[in-house]
Parts: sequence; C-alpha cells; structure tokens
Amino acid sequence: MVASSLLVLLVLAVAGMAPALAMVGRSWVVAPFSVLVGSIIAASSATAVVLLGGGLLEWFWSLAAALAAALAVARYARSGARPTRPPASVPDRRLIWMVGIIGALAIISATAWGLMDLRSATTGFDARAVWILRSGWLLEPHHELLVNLRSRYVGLGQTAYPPLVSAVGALAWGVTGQHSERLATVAIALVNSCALIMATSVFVVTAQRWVAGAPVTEEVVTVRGTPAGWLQRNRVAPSGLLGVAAALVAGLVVVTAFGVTEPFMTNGYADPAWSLAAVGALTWGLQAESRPSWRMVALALAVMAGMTKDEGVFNAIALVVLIVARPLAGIWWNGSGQAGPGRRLHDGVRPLVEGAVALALIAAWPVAIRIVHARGQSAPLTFVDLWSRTIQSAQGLEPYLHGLVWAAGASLIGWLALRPVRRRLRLANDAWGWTGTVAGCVIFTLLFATGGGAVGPHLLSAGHRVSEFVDLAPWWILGMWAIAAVAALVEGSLERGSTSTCGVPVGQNGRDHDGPDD
Amino acid sequence: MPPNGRSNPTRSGPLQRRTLLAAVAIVAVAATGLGWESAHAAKVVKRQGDAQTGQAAAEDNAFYRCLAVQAHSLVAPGEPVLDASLAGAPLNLAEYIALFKATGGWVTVASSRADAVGLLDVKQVAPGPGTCRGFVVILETRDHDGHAVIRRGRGASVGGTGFPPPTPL
Repeated sequence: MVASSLLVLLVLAVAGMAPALAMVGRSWVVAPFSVLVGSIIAASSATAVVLLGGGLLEWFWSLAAALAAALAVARYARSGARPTRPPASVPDRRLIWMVGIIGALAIISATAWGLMDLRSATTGFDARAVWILRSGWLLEPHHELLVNLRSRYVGLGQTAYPPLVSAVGALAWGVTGQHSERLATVAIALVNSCALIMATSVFVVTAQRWVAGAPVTEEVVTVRGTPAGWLQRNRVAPSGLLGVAAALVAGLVVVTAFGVTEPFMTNGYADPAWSLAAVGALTWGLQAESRPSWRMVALALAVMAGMTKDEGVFNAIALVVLIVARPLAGIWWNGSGQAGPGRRLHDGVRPLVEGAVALALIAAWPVAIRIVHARGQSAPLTFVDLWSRTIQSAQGLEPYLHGLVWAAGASLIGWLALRPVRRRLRLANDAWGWTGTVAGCVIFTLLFATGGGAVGPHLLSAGHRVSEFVDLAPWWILGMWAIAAVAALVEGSLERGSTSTCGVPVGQNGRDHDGPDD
Repeated sequence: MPPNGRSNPTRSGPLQRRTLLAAVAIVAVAATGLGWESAHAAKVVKRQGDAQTGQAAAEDNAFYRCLAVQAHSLVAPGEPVLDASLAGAPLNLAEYIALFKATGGWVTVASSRADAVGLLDVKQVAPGPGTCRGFVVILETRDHDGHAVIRRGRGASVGGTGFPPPTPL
C-alpha cells in the first residue's frame, strides 16, 4: 500500500512538474505543488473523458506531455528574445537555504504526524458513496460512464460534482492496477497533505525572501537583552530568527489545520482538498508578496479548489476575481500606470488573461456535464423565507469562527503599528486576505440559505465540512502577522545605519515583482 | 515599495516603542491562539488514530467488502442490472445506501428495466455464516415462464448483526 501510494504521488508529481517549475522555479515548494498541478491535470482528463471518451490515463499523459511541450517551446522562444540577466546577488545563500530546510522540515514533520491517522483505515461515508465510487465510473467504457451520469436508476445526487478527487482515485487505480478503496483514500489524503504543505509554505518562502534582503553577515546587535542579542553572542545571524519563527508558525498552522479538517483529511472526503487549495490561493495570491509567478501559483490553487467540489467552485471564482484585482488595484493606486517605475497600464492585461484562463478551467467541468446531460447539474434553489434562512445559515457558521477572533485581534494591532514592517516584507495589505475570508463566509451563508431542504439538518450534516475554508483562513492571516511581528523585532535589533535594506531588496530578486498594492 | 514616500524601504532607526509593543503583542496572540488550537488538534488527531476508531473502520470496511464480494458472485462484469429499490421495489433507504456503496462504483447499470438481466437488492436475514452481519445480496431474475428466480450472493461473510457503526458524515 505504501509503495502504491508513493507511486501515485510520483505519477502526479511527474505530470505536474513542468508547469510547477515554470511557476515557482527551482524551489523546494515545487515538490508539493507539482503533485497539485498533477491532480488538476487528472481532473482535466476526467472532464475530457466525460466529454469525448477515451481512457483516463491516456488523456492524463497526453495533457501532461502537451503542457510540458508547450512550456518548453515558450521557454525556448523567450530565451531567444531576451538577453539573459546575471543572477541577482544575495547576501548569504546558505542562510536562505537553511531557512528553507528548517521550514520544510517543520511543515513535513507536522504533516507526517497528522497523516499517522491513516493507521485507522477509515473510509468516510461520502467517500464511499460519492467520491471513490465515481472513481470507478471514470475507468468504465464511455457509454457506461454516460449511463451512470444520466440514468435515473443511479440514486446519487452528487453525480455532477466536480471531478478532481474522484479523478485522483481513478488515476491511482489505473496506475497501480489495484482497485481498492484504501488506495484511493490514501491517495486523496496525500493530495490533501500537499495542498496543506503548499498553503503553509508561504510562511517559509516569505522568510526566505526577507533573509535574501536582510543584512546577514557580521550584524551588530544594539538592543541588549533581546533574542537577537543572544543570537549574536552565539554567532548566529539574527535574521535567521525569522526563519525559525516561520518554521514554528508553519508547523503550528499545519497541526491546527489537521484539527480543523480531521477526520475528513484522511478518510477520502473532498472538503479538505478544496478548502486547503482555496486557503493556498488566498495566502499566495492575497497575502504574500505580489509577484506574477506567485499569482500563477495562487490561480492554480484556486482552479484546484474549483475542480474539487461545488462549494469550491463559488469560492474559487471569488478568489480568482480578488487575485486578479490585486495587481490591477496596485496599478490604479500608482496613478494610471504612470507613477510606478517600469509600470505600464497594459501590465493589467496579463492578470486579466490569467484570470480568464483560470475561470475557463473551472468552468470546463460544469459545461461538460451540461453537454452530456448529466443529472444533478444544479441543486434546486429556495428563495422562500430567504431572510430567516440567511440568518439561520450565518448562525450555523458561528461555531467555526473562533480563529477569526484571534486573527482579528492580531490584524487590529498590526494595522495600528506594524503596517510599515508588513510593507517592507512586501506582504499584501491585510484587507485582501480578509476580503477573501469574508467572501467565503458570505458564500457559505448563501449556499445554505438558498439550498433546497431545511437549513438546520443541512448545517448539521455538512456545515462542519463546508466551513473548513473560513475556519482555516484566519489562522493563515494570524500566521502572516506573526511573521511580520518577528521581522519587526529582528529589524529592531539590527545595527542602526546599516547600508543594507531589511526586507526584500528593491531591484534585487525583485524582477518578478508586481509592485505595491497598498 | 510605494514610490510616493509613504514608507521607507530602508530601516531608518531603532525599534520604536509602539512597534516593539505591537510586535510582542502579536507574537503573544499568535502563540496563544495557535498553541491553544494545536492542543485541540492533537486531541482530534489522536482520537482519529486510536484503536477504537481503527476497529470501527475495520468493521465498516469488512461489511462493504462482504457485500461487494456477494454482488460479484451474482453479476458478471458488464452485465447490466438495476437496483431493485430504484426499479419499483419498496425502498429501505439504509439497505439501498449500503448496496449502492458496495456496488455503485463497478456494477453496470442498465439504461432501462427491459435491458436489465435482473434486480439487485440487499435483504436482512438471520445472522450467521454466508451473511454480512445478517445481510445478503440477492439478484432477482425471471425464468422462461416469467417466474421470479432469486439467487443469493456467496463467497463472503462477516460476523455481527446490523449495520456497522456509522462513519463520520
């Protein structure tokens, strides 16, 4: 089972490697990200199977190869068109690596601890009745697949739900030849874990970016009695403290995420996959430094959320709109594209095109199932007693919002005193992350308020799962403020008048930078 | 960095008292919040991985595997069948769901009643050998004279009575 699961992970990673490398470059996060991109390719393959027929594995490898070839051609064309720049010099590459390794170890260790739950071979109710069940359909001949999707003799209300989780299960079976529910469940849990690793990696990557611009050699500590003073006495670069803090924050957030998502994280449900992908989209696209390549990462994660579950579709659309709006707002903020150095008005075209592609990918499955006349394309909507149902739905969200209280406290303090530090870290204005989270709350409320049937039982049976995104997102907001706070403490402990800049250096490592957005 | 001078990209002086206090406060809030939530998470993860959960999962898996094996003994690959409950038989929701979970991913569903070679169903019988916790899978077909022929699934049995403990919904 372990070997088969690792093989599935490897297959997903190989298929998604070229697009992942194109987006994040040679970074440690390419490993989990390539698995997620592979799962998007699997979901796209499932869409093609439904629409056009053919085998899932054939589509999967064909799409992966076509993507890799297209990227190779684009890279070749670009390399001829542009002069190659010398690599940006960084103060101490070893320290950047060390921060990355410590952070990655913390995240992977915490994830491995959570995955120990796989010792209980639990297959969730919906996993067996919906998600893994449909994995079998995707491997059937096309006409049988269509009968399953269309027939009133198949008593499944979620026939038309987005395909990503089922596609991962089907791929696992197709690659290994083992048609076991356990293998599909473990494969889904591993994809969930990669989404979690990807979402939390932003803390470590932010610290690495900060270290890349911080004065890391021969710092003189002037504030006595601070942690940095201890570090200096022990000949450890104070800026490394931020790396340790990022690792701690990331590790604690991973543990917290397991607490929110279990038992569904490891029992084959689709909710953790879309929720964690949406959190990743929020954190890479609306909290981290604004860079085109990171925006692509965020959009890819939003696409993953939209390809996983109906609730994910609505949240993914909202996130794509916000992720695209952020650079556009930055351009607008700088005065019609004139004020910022090197900023042009048509810079706004690229995010718009990327957003349109992301929305098209999310829309592919809903369009495909309409074309084949699948059942359950849209749930019946209720608009009777809408106000009272909305109130009841909003109240149903209440038990899952305790993270919001902690995050709101940190945001308030940070907004009052740490905004300059946040800017130096090139993090987004906190309002972006909050807007994404509030959008999630609104979508949750409207889905339950307008969904068919009584609100109470619906909340009881699904509220705790569907709320995972808005339950998780505040912990990332809190974590990002914690990184900013530690950066402020470390900054303050460094020698006054240093010629180096704290935070990501302007014009250094910043080729890919979108500019300010707050 | 905004070029309009709203912020200075370089560090310009010692840590202000207000910034220091805010940073310490946020670190405290984050440590307390994440620490508290992590402690709760540890309990959740521990519960999910404990022996009791493992035992319940094993019973659940064994039950559905048993039903699937019995159904496989009745229906050949590619043979179109219908679920009896959806084809007009009285609906027992729990039994219907159990059968669907055990067979829905692999059984070939007939496009109409006329195309079906038979109706697949789950029935509760006296617990014992040849049953899955007291349930058996049956296939109802018609002989040449139009009389109902009921065949009972074979090949697996699981001890116990009734449905296994419910898994998290």
